[in-house]
Amino acid sequence: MSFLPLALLALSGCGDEAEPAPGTLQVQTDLGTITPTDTALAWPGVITVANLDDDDTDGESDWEQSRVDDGDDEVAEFTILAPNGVELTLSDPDDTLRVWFQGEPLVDGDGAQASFSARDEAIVLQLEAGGYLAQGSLALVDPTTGDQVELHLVSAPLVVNHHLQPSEQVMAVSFVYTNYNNQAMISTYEDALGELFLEVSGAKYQDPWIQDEIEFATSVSPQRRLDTVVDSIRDGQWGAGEGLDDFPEDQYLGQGWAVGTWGRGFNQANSQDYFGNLEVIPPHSAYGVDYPYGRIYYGLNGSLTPNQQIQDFLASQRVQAPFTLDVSWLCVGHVDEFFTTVPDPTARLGWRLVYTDVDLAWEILEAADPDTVMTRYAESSAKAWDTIGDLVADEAMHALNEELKQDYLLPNLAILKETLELTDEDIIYVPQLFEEVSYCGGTTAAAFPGMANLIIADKPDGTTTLFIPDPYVRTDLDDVQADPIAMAFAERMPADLDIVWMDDWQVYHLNLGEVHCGSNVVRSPAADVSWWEDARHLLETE
Amino acid sequence: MPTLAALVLAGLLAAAPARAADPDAAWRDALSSLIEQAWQADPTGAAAVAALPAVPTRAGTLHLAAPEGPWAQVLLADRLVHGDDPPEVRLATAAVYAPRGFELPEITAGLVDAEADPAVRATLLHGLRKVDADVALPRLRAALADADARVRLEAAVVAGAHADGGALADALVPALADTDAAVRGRAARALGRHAVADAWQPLRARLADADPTVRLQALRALERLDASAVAALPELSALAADPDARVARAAAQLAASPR
Repeated sequence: MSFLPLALLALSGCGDEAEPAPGTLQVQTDLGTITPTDTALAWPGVITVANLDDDDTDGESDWEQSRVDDGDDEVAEFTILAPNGVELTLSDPDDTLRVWFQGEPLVDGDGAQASFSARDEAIVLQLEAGGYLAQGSLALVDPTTGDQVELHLVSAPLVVNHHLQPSEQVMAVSFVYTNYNNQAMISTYEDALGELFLEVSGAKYQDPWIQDEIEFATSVSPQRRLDTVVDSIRDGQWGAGEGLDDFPEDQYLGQGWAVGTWGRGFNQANSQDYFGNLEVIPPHSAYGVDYPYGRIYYGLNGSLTPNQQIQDFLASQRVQAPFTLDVSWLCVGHVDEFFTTVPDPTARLGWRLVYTDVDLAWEILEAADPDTVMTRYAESSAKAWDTIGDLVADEAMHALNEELKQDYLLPNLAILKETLELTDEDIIYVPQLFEEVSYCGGTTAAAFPGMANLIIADKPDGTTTLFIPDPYVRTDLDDVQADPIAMAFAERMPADLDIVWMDDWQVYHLNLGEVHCGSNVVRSPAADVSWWEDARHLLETE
Repeated sequence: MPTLAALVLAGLLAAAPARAADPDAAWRDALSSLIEQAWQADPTGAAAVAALPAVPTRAGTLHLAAPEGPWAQVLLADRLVHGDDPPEVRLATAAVYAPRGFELPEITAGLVDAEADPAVRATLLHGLRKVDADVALPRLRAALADADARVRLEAAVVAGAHADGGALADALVPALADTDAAVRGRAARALGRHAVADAWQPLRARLADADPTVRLQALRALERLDASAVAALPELSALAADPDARVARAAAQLAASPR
């Protein structure tokens, strides 16, 4: 361990603060210098990221291993100058912080104390955290002068990624069975994304719903980045070790990657626990409050909700203040079934809400040639309409979609508008109809592939591609230009977004999901993350 | 457009009037004949349908990879009647058969009549949605009185969606008092969709239902019956303060609407 000369430390401070008087107790953090008389940086103080990854890939998180190794970089170093010595007391009510000195725990546990005698050399300490947004403080007292510094200690919150963050990896599970394959969708991803696309083995995992199993999040300190896979209690839909349950550990757990689960386990999971039901509105302001990391939202289905532990955890991270919507009208019951957000540099917010509109769907269909054979529907045993005219003439569909509009789509839209302070200028309405699903209690799913259930890839070259389920409301399956629903959707999208149509019919749509449900995206943190500054108002608000 | 199997079925039934006295034998005979023709026409395709894998839907249930082709419905019915699939796969088979159950109406009705598994029977009811009233409504009426709540629930859903479902009012009104809240809610919705005027009072009584979804569906149904009359109901002010946000919102909107 090296020690910085005092002169160098004094020069390395940030800003224009006055140089501390010689002989003064000082703390040097990534953000600058703190003294008994200059406490401007005592909050946020020392910032780290949770040491929950697995640098030595032994399957155990680094926090659990009671040591800080050379390769263990999820700690924040800070330095104390104590010419008169210093007495330290850790305040850590949640027992999620440790301070290390020369490879050994110095203070560990609420109320733990340590002291150093007078010395000229710097005392180099390391802060380690065992949780997200773990907070405590370290009281420093000069035993000679009685001067004090109350130093805040904090780990970065878990920030669930939103659609404006750069994409690093897009993934889907590949199925190649006779009569059941998604090779068209996989090939489309490969062609459009190249090395940015990860093909996950369907032969190994037997589970296409990769959106439902995991959610990607990031945590950032001034020096570090930690990626986290939030692993749902869905457990592959069938139990521990089933389906994609082990995928996050197999693929990601290791250096710089943590895997965390909040909840009670598979037997207690319901569909609202799946992460198609966990999304993030991009950054915005509402009623004078900035949300620089956006806001989390998820759906409630009456008494069926995401498990309380994950609700509490997400709320505890503060910076993405969650809100809820009503998904009780959907058979699967996920928020990704009826709206999303897309980047739009021309928009007031830099993004727009994409919201399903049943009236628009009827308007488009009623204007189309009623004799148009919808080949995909006519050939499928799972759909009740052969032609556009059959669908338009289906009075029960009209009645159902009118009810859904009145009881759920408009009320949910009102919640979004009110919560996010949106106007119609911020919203793109897109055509969609829903149908009742047999043996699902009269609840519904998308009648044609739900186009709002899309994937957004913000690529390294600065372009953005939307991967959208092809609705196939046409005769010639290869001629999407002839599809009135697809074209109505495309013409409403922001002009500089590339659109790629995806064939998700067999593996996804007919099984009550779409492209988004069957894909996932690893994203970089947003540029210039400094939550300790730009989200401080959210962290301090009770 | 009728499929080949549907045309053949019509011919088979027309050619065997003597079996009309025994409807159960009639549809079974017809199905057997259709199955034989399906296997002769496309043995590879028929074998494929017989071996279709069940895969998990996003809702957690199983779904049969949807078959295509002119004989798909026949082969699915074959699998339901003669297959040895476990119950969850039979349920998945019924779910993929039902949307086009109208193509083989007599066979769909026969499948409903003969099905012992309540979950499968409930699912097959969706096959009656576009089937003529003389075939569909007796099955739906019986299903609304089924001992199994899952069957009663799906019967109420299909009754609401069937073009002639209003004729089931005599069975839907009692369902407003069903022990299962989901059945009560769907019965209210069906009565509203068909604007059954005689259901006004029983629906109004459901405004005090313990289940919020039933209160919401009753309110919506009454609105469909007479929007101005429901806006004048004294219950509306209490409903506007309902603990369920959906009910409160709907009631407030109705109260504010011009009478």
